[in-house]
Amino acid sequence: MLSSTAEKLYWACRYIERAEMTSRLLDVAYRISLTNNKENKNDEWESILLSTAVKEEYLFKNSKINQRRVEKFLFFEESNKSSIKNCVRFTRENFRMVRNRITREVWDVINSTYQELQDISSGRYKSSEIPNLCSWIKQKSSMLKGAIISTQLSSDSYDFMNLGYYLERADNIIRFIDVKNFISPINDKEKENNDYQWGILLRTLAAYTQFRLSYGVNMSQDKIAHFLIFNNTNPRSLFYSLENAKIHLKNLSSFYNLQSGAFSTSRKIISKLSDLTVKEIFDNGFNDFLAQYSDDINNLHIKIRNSYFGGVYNVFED
Amino acid sequence: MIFNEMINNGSIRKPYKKIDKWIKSFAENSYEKKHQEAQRIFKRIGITFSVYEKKSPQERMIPFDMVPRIFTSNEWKLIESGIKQRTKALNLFLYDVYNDASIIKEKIIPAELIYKSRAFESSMVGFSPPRKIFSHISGIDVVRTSLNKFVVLEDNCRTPSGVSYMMQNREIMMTMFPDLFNDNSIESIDDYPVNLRKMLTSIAPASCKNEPVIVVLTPGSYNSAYYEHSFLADLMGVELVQGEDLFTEKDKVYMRTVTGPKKVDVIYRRIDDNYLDPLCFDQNSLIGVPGVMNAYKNGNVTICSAPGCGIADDKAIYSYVPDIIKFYLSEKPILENVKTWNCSREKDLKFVLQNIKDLVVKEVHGSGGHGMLIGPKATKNQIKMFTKKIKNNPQKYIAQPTLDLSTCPTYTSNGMSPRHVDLRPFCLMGREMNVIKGALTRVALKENSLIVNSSQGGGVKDTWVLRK
Repeated sequence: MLSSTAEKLYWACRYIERAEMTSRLLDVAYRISLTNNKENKNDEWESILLSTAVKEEYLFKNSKINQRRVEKFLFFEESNKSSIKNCVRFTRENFRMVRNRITREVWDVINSTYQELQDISSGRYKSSEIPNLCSWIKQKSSMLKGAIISTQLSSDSYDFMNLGYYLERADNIIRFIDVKNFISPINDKEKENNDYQWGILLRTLAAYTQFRLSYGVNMSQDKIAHFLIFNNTNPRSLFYSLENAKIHLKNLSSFYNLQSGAFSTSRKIISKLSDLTVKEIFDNGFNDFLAQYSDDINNLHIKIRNSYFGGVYNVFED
Repeated sequence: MIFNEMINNGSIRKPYKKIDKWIKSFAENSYEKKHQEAQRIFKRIGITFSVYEKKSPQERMIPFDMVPRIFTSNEWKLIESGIKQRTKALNLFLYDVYNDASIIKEKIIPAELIYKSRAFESSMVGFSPPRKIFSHISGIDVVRTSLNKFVVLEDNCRTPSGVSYMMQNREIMMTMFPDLFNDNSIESIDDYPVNLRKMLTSIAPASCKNEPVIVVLTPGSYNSAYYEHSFLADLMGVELVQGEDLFTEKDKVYMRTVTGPKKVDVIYRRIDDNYLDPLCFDQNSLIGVPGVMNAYKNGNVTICSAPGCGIADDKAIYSYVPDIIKFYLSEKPILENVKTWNCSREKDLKFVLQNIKDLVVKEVHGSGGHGMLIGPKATKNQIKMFTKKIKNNPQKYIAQPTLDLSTCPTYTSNGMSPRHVDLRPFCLMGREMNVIKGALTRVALKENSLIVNSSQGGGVKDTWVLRK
């Protein structure tokens, strides 16, 4: 397989995963805004800009933070490389360039999503339509994943696509956890409000019921942290994402019969994470933990690039 | 008198009888519905071409017309033998031009017409490509002017496009109207990709002992024919590459793969000569492969089509093609040329300027229907402007009489109506020569318009060759 083909498959899936995550975050922010008190009205809109890592870009274009502008920026903005509309476009563009590696079914989903999205005007939608637009994107993203799982051969293409999905998801989870309400110290007065917000957060990850099944009805910071970081049954936990990235890297190593530096890196990250506990994370500082793993994920991305996307001097041994 | 391919002398021609019935079988409005459905399918599959508007690429669809264009097997025999003859002669001409140049020594074609042409590629002089073939894929444009007369409008020897539309048009017709294919006995076009791959395999360098590694080289996804590039790579089962996917080392070409470099033996390139190799041609090219020409000339890779092919489809050479056929094959041309005046000749220039309002004037290097004047349809001002342009630069222009392009029934906002059509059959030349039994029919959707180019609002039709 061409190095550039592998790279395009990888990025196509990173972008659609990003579009889905942004939709989820946008949906949370919208729900929180419905019940928030008036003083800190725009807090959730600021935190969503932080967790999608586009606050600077946003402020470059806009003087102040308000709901309508943030929605538009995250969903439609041309100049925001991570806007949902751009992510869908990049996914389609990358797939379009490797049409011979994807099935007709996969192409149909992304192409029709792109075409339909072209017809939705950024000027005309109403804010009240945001939940619908977000769930439409989530649906399309699921359809795409479904088409990939049910029609693509389980060969190297499939592994590169999945690597894109899991790397992006791991990266997003780190930022998702990083919303300020989650890590701020909690006093009793705030507890009730936090329960509510956690509830919304879990719903957004489509994990509200699953969480209760595993941890009971009482929410706590520790439980939520465990669920999002360590739970190996939660498809949106950090551990699950990294573990799956590792599995696909292992598949590639055996498919090509070449041990890659990326695979050994993923193994190291996973074993380091397995040794940790929630208590240790809080004791050593939550921010440090997030920064550390954000770096690790980025490092893993670089290793994947060096192993497979270089094309001439591929690095197979660490 | 314009020839209508369906209705001749007031009655429906035999090959069109079933189609006539088929058209009449549509209830009111149902044709419109089917028409819309066809456009939707095209959009969903993503069959688009790019046009540049406001400096950014926009994806457009080519309008598809559902009424097929039909040829009898005898008509096709004539077209096929004419196309083969011409492709063969033009390849002999290309080999000669870059080697012995006997056609020039014999004064059949003036030397300056060749050596001063932009399409002449001096770096190819003295080079003999595998099987001595330069132009492996030709798309010679043919128009029909009467029941028995087909004439060649222009030759395309470099990288003619449109074959993917030919195949998709058929695909859509078969999906939407399977009954039509049961009722009519139509030649299949399915084996084009297989034949293309066989042809490319047959021109691999002599040094290549194993199954050759073939790639399709595209300028990228913003190129107007990108869909076709990926379509062909897909159906042939070969890699679609861009310049950056390839590199050369010690005069060999490699592609960058996930497991390291892999040697490439045949490049079906869909980028122009000029951009092919920055070390040999335009040094600013970012889409080419540095060093590929050296690899080619050292016999380590084959480039299809060979650089410098363009000299054979140059509009200034066009009027000499009948002489070329006679010179190399000692045969009479099977398909006629359109009478052409080369403004570089003084006598022709005088005639063109006097009769400009009845003529079609074309730029020698123009394409896609641009830089063209259709005398009878032009305003006084346009004629004045073109007269001035021709006088300033006579060698840049040729002129031809306006042709009575045949018409085919076509669906319009006012129901079925005749529209002008042309024809692009595709011919492959490797170990064997092969003309696909089908073609791309382009149709001018505007009433009375003669311009069929997709960039100027032309549409396409499925093209049938009936079995005997």
